[in-house]
Amino acid sequence: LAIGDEYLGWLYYQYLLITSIYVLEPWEQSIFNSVFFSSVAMVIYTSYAFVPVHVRLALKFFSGICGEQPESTMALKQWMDGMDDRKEIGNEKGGLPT
Amino acid sequence: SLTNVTMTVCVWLPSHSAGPPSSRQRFQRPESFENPPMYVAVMTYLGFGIVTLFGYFRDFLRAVGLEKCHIAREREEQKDFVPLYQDFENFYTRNLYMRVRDNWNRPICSLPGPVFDVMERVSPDYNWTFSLTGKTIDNVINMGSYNYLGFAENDGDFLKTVADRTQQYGLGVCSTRQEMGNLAIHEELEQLVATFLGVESSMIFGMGFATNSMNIPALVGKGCLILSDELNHTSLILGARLSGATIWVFKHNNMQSLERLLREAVCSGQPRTHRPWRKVLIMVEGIYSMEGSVVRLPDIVALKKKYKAYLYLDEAHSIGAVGPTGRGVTELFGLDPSDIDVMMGTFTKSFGAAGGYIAGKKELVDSLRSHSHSAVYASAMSPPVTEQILRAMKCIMGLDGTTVGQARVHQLAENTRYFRSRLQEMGFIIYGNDDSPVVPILLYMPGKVV
Repeated sequence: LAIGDEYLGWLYYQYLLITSIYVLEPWEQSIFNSVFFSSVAMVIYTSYAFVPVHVRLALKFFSGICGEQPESTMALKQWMDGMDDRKEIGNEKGGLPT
Repeated sequence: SLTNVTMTVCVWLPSHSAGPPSSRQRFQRPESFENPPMYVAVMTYLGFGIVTLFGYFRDFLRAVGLEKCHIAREREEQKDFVPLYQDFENFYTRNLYMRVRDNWNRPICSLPGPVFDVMERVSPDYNWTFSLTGKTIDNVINMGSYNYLGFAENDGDFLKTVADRTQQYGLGVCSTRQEMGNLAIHEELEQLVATFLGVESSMIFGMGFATNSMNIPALVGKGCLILSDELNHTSLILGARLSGATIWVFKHNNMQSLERLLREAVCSGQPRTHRPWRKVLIMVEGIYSMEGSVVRLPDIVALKKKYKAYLYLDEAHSIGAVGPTGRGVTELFGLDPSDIDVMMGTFTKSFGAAGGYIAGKKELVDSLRSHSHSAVYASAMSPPVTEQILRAMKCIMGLDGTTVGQARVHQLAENTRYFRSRLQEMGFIIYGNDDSPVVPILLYMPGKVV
């Protein structure tokens, strides 16, 4: 556990050096760390919440287009169904805007 | 602007022994100025960006009044006048340099040997003010002095002649060379420098920077052309500007650029009148102190002979430090010293003293004796300093009967090669020629530099 702590300490030191936070005063380091890690957390949450859904719909849309090339109206209808799907899922997650 | 650290190699690092390479017409070893990997450049810019953002934030706090302002400010009554202090230009000084400036200008309390002592400083308010604690940090490894051959020493045996001369002549000269400051010891040193370099005669000056800035105006004037390298030292640039000659700059060590400028000079002549230039002077340095690169002297000498220009070689860092017997870049490339019209150098680096010299043909040096600004107005070199240079030069040449000087020169070459090769193995980006004892290590990120 001590070796792990030392490694983490070294890793934190490298992070300080690379981002040049090392030159800042401690309270400025705290501000930067809180802003940086909260934005990283938001990015992770957004990707977890929305990327699978978007990927699934995109695949559905493109497979629909490839299968029914002359029938553009069919593809449009399928895309509209997909939009309704997304609206329902958005509602499940608590009313997030689509 | 990417940051770097320049280190100079001194004599004391351990190394394995091998003979020095021969000097007969050696080919220029490739000089590397490699670029960093992309992520390093990105992180450097990112780091600077973050510090800049915090700089704006702190400036805002200072302007609003939430934070005490330590920098110089005008009084309230003067706010309507023309600003005295340029706040915007000091942005990086205020917000980046002040945070980290405890790494620079540290007071040293011993001689700059292989290790030295540093006085300890503390700062309660993040480097705006310092106070010395009174303790010293001992045996700090010296990576940055110009003490290439170790002649800046305080060993009593070596310095006996210096002490004797101080007894004989005193410390101050209190006059210029042309009035009453021309001591016999100066004449002795000038003859020794001429013998050392293999030229007809030489002249010495009290300050190395002033040797360049005060003598170039005596050599060239209006109607002359100076072709100076991109990365020349400030003293050369200052001397060139003071002289009133036209200055054209060629790319660093780039012979095509120099040749193009020479052809342009010969073909077109002076700007509006198209008269031929009175003199064309090519100004280069032996070793460039910030990049560690060595000048391509054989090519430049060939070009100068072809286009009938004069060559001014500033060997501040290379005299005593390169070449099989320490005679500088001329010996490194196996060239004849009479090919170079004006050989200039300083005694600050390899000789552990202060001052500079200009050497060349007798007519040149005689004209400098009467026309140089430094000879007329500047105080002459002090006797102990002159004796220090005399004893160091005699040691290098072997005239004092020992081989200590030559051993030091060889040891420096070994150390240089070893240091450079080991750093490259470790993966650092090193600039410059393999022969030069000046080793810039590029660190790029501001956090790592400090």
